[in-house]
Amino acid sequence: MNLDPALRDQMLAATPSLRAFAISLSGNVDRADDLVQETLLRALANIHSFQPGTNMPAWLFTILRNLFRSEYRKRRREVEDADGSYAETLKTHPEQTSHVEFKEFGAALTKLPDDQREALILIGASGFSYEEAAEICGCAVGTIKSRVNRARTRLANLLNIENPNDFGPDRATRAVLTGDDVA
Amino acid sequence: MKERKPPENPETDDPMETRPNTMKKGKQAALGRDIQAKIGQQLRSYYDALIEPVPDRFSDLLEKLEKPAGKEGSE
Repeated sequence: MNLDPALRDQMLAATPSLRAFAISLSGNVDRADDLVQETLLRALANIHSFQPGTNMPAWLFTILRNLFRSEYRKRRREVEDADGSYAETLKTHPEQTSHVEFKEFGAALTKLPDDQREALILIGASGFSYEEAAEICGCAVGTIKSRVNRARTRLANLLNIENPNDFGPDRATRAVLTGDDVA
Repeated sequence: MKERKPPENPETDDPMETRPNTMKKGKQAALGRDIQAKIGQQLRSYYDALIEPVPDRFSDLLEKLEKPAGKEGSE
């Protein structure tokens, strides 16, 4: 098989975000990598059905999301890994996010129902529009909106964010985030 | 099918998405903009921390396919 270099570049460009999406969904780096690999293989096998000029990231995210839903979700029940052990395997975290906060957030994310989690990530982090997210998830735009709203509410509860002043595990973390003085 | 208007309040459930257990409508359910912004910020930090350069296995996989006589089975 011969892959058009332009398409290859588009696939490569989308891969880092695709992988972050996979980690966010599965909560596990190794499984996420398998998921990405499987997604790329499927994309290559079906590359003839991709219309050049259309949205490559959305196409890949759709494949990955469907794979996760059909296959990886079953395994998820078998392997309980909701404690955030994946965070340990990650090499670096940006300085503005403390390790504790990163783990806390990842753990909270895994507690959301799949449909809410994927909607929230697609809209809030992966940078898709509501229309694109609706296509990726195969549902109505209004459904995506309501899932995102519910996901936010649920996260606020899980993370005990009642007002911005209470945000974060401690004052020092908040100070780092907001640039306030701790003293 | 009629297009549904987005709910006016964030905590209002879309009728298509009703679920059996009704969430308590306390003040926690009504998310202020500040709280939404904070969650958004934290989500992006989390996601950005997951973004890394493409692992070699993926770039190799895609590179390999460019060569007409590429062989399968690197792993």
